[in-house]
Amino acid sequence: MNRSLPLEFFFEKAEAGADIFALFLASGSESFSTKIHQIHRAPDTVSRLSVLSILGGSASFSYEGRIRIDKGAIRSNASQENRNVLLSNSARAQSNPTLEILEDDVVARHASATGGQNEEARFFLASRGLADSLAKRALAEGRIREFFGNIRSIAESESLDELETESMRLLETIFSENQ
Amino acid sequence: MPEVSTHKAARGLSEETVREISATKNEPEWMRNFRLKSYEIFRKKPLPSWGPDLSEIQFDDITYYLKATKDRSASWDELPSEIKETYDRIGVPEAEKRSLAGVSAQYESEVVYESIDRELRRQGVLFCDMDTAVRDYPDLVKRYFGTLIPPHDNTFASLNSAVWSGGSFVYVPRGVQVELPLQAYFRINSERFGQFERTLIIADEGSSVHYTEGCTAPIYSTDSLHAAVVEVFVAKGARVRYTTVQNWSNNIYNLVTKRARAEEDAVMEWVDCNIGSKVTMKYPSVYLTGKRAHGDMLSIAFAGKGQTQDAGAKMFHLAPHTTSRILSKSLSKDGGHASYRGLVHIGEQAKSARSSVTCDAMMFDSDSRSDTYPAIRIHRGDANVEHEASVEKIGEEKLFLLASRGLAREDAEALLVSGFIEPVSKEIPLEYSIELTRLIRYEMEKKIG
Repeated sequence: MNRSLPLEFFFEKAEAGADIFALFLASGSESFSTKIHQIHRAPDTVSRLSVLSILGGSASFSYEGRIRIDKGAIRSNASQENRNVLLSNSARAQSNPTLEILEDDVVARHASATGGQNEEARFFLASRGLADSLAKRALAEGRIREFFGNIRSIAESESLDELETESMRLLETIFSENQ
Repeated sequence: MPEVSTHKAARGLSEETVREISATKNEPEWMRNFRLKSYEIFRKKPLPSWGPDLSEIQFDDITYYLKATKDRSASWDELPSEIKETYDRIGVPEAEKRSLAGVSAQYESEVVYESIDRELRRQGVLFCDMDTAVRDYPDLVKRYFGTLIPPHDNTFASLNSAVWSGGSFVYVPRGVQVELPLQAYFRINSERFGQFERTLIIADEGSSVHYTEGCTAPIYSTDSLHAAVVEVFVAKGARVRYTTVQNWSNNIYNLVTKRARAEEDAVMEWVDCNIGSKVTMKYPSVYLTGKRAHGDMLSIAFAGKGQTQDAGAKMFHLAPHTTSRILSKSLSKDGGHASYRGLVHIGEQAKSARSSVTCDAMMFDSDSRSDTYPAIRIHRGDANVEHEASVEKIGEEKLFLLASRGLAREDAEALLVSGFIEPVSKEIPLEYSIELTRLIRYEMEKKIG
């Protein structure tokens, strides 16, 4: 299975802005890739992208991001953040966030972190009596809750609850497969 | 032995040119064949389809012969005034100015070189130019030369493999720690700042050495294409640091392939400063082939008017518990274009690998451009890879704070820039870093036309 999801956001008018969230949960031999472009063409525009992937089995994920701030888009503020949580040794991730900045009076950032979960956190939970598989699950659920929490802090929507439930269900699949 | 004169040299590259270069150097057959094979490969290779525009390079117009003398500009008066001004501003001593300009022979006392040479020999360290190494240490050279960067690796590696001349050869025996940083500058009786330098550094088990090359003072060259190749082998438990300060004049295309292989418990550190040239494309890499090997890259790039600095680093994690760190600082001003292009590859054998990459860019005006193209490829679930990048202009609030403490704007800007590059500049040897600070300050003060 291979699903691609190219998305382009053009900020053409002054003070336009967007918060963009993408969540990918994959198990088995699923493979996802996404291309997300944030193109700033007007002053005082803002964009913030957050991409989270949680991968089990031998799933793979590829993220290609582009922030482009054209000349004239002064005082724009753009950021991309990609976090890939790998829950099995055969999971694979590729991350290519890029920045193309042609205006100086702007702020542009990106960050990408890929790995298994925080070892210290797992140890902490183990010291409280949680088996490792439960600890990993708890941490992954925490990431998903944090993700939806960030969305809710900007805008509420009924569909968010449904999406969160569905995400937890998909997480369940990943973990049951790993058994 | 045929006399080589730059005036008589044929322009352009042909199989005959390659044969003549080899004959002039009196090279063994194996090197001549290597060159010829590389030339065949070069002929078939296209220009890269990515990165800065290289279409203006006139391959046919380049003089590929050895230079008989080191003169790059016939007289002091011919040297561009911009370069003379920079020498003054960064405080290059009078005698050194002329030497750098290629007007006079090296000025240092031979006695200094001889005593360094004696000390190195006592330790069993081999340090000479590459031409000499091919003749005097053929077995050692043959074992390593062209094995990390084979001619077919990329277009400019194949060109260099065909026409290389000059460059350094360093061999450090087992367990030897070379205290004194070796400088390309120390090599006497050989071409300095050559067009197609080829450098080979071999650090045997448990040894350590620091090699430095380049110059903060701008080096003027009429040759518009410079394509060097550097191969570094760091054996088990050894450590090599390779520092480059590049400040070629603004007419030069500087297209360099640098690669290191680090074995078990080895450490390879690249410290790279790119200040000059019209276009630089350079991505020093480390192949971490042994357990617990570590690759490090610290770089500063300054892209001023008409300049493109397309630089970065590549780290290949190919063994368990390997680590890497990349720290890149770039500055772009007056329409300059600075790009970071990097790769972190975590291979299937790289159990528990860790890598962290930080790229920070500072832009001074809206004519300039800054890009970041990091690629992260992870083929294992237990890797830990972090990357962050930021692009900003010089902080107005910080400038205001400094102004309120009585600093003039230029001084405040210089202070902020100094602080911005400090994590990298503090790793550069003192002699370079003083000049580097002055040079950057001078670059910042330059106004457009």
